[in-house]
Amino acid sequence: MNTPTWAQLTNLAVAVLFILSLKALSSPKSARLGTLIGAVGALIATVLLFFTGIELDNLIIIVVMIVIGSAIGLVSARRVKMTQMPQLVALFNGVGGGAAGLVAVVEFLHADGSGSFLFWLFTVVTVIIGSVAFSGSIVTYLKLQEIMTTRPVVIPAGKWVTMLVAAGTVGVAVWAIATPEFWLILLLLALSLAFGVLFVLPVGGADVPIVISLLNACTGLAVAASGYVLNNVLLLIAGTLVGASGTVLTSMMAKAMGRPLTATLFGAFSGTTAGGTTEITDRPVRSGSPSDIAIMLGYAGKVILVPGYGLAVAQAQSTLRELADLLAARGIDVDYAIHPVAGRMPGHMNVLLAEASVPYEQLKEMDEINPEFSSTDVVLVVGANDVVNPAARTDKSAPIYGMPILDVDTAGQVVFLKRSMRPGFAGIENELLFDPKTTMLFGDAKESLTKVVSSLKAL
Amino acid sequence: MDGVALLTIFILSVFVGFEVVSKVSTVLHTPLMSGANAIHGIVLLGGIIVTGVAETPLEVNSRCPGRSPRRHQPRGWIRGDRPNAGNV
Repeated sequence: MNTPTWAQLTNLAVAVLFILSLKALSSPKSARLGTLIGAVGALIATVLLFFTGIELDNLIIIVVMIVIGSAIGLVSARRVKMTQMPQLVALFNGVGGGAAGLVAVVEFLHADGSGSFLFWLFTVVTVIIGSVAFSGSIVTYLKLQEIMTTRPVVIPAGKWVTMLVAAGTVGVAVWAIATPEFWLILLLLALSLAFGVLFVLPVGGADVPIVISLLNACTGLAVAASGYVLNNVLLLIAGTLVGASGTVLTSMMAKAMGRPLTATLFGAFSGTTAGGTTEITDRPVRSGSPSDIAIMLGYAGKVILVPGYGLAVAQAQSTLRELADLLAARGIDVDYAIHPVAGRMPGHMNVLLAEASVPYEQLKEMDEINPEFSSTDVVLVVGANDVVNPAARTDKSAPIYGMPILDVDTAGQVVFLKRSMRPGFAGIENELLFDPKTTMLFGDAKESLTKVVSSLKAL
Repeated sequence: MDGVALLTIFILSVFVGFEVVSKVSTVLHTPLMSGANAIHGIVLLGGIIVTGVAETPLEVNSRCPGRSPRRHQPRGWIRGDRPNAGNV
């Protein structure tokens, strides 16, 4: 006898809940509901599992581990700042991939040398993809958290080392399927982990979100493969859903950034994302006082605000909103221009501004707002840099070349609120900062904005 | 469930996965990725299943003596490949 029919039917219902959850997450109105549906589905599936007559030899360990894991997950998700969300997604994703890989390793031990060809194939596939997702995600986490450099890390002969490791992984995988021995699986584990690291190291900071999305899809596939190994239909369906939707999401994201996926992943190997600098130059720029900027803004007819990662770090969303409301009260036309990858990930800035209850209608996407810059008097760029860098259009050697940018340089005047002259995440200088029509106000985005707001009130 | 049935489910799920997110706007990429990330957390079930039957210290950090090695058997829906599946 297998799992009771009622359990099978409930699992089917959970699979449907997961599909509905993803569907609901694709629209702003229902996104919140979507997360809830997914959580309910996962809860039902987990609780149900204990009542389907599976062996629970190590029940105490299982329960203790679930409690510890849930506690860590809850605390870290509650504590994380919205600006650090991409890192958390990367980290959780890596843990998921690692878990799938370990499940396959344990199942390998358990199978004790017997099993069909497909069983070995999927076990090996789970180990490889899971490990790559794990080590790759850890590297993306380190990059986003800026524990390591955000610039592409190019190791000498890295291309050949990576290809060698990849070839070795495939070779050992074939060997392990033919003669299932445990030490081969361990070797496979080590090679896959190394491959994950080598694969993500050369990716430049600006491309990291795309890689996270790709690794997310990888973890989904690893979970799907582990579902085959364990003969668990729910794992198979959920993993496949994430794998497929993650792939679509990755390609859409790459398109939004104007970079073919291959350029992102192999760019550093061919040298196209190399270059860039983190040095601070001493070329002269024009800086203005908060009251200068308040006057520029206060007597303009049309103002566009360009929020970036610096705004989010300074937690200045509400102050920016206050400024926007003040300007609007003076009869000035105000819009927010949201670059697809403003913040650190597509949609990240929308989440941050929603937190400050900026009306959704005021957020204009890039394609919609770009034609309007030429008829705009003042553009206020708060803590953004790469997404308004004209080098993306003009300088073929720039790492961000080809990325669609906000055409801020066509506006009448540009004001940058920046901490320093330090380059953005992509590590390149922005010519626009030295343009005669640009005014700089250095300092923390929140402090600067507060000063501009009070000067504006005094006008 | 046999391999072909699982493969069928796999292929159909791929199409559902593609369809379900094909029209999402860029503003929702981050929440969607986060949500998808949560859904593949269902691998937890896999962890429970393998831990539930683990025997050697290598499989889990405690030893459950007195069991003979097991062999592969036809598999069930949510169960791993365990003999005595329904008798517990």
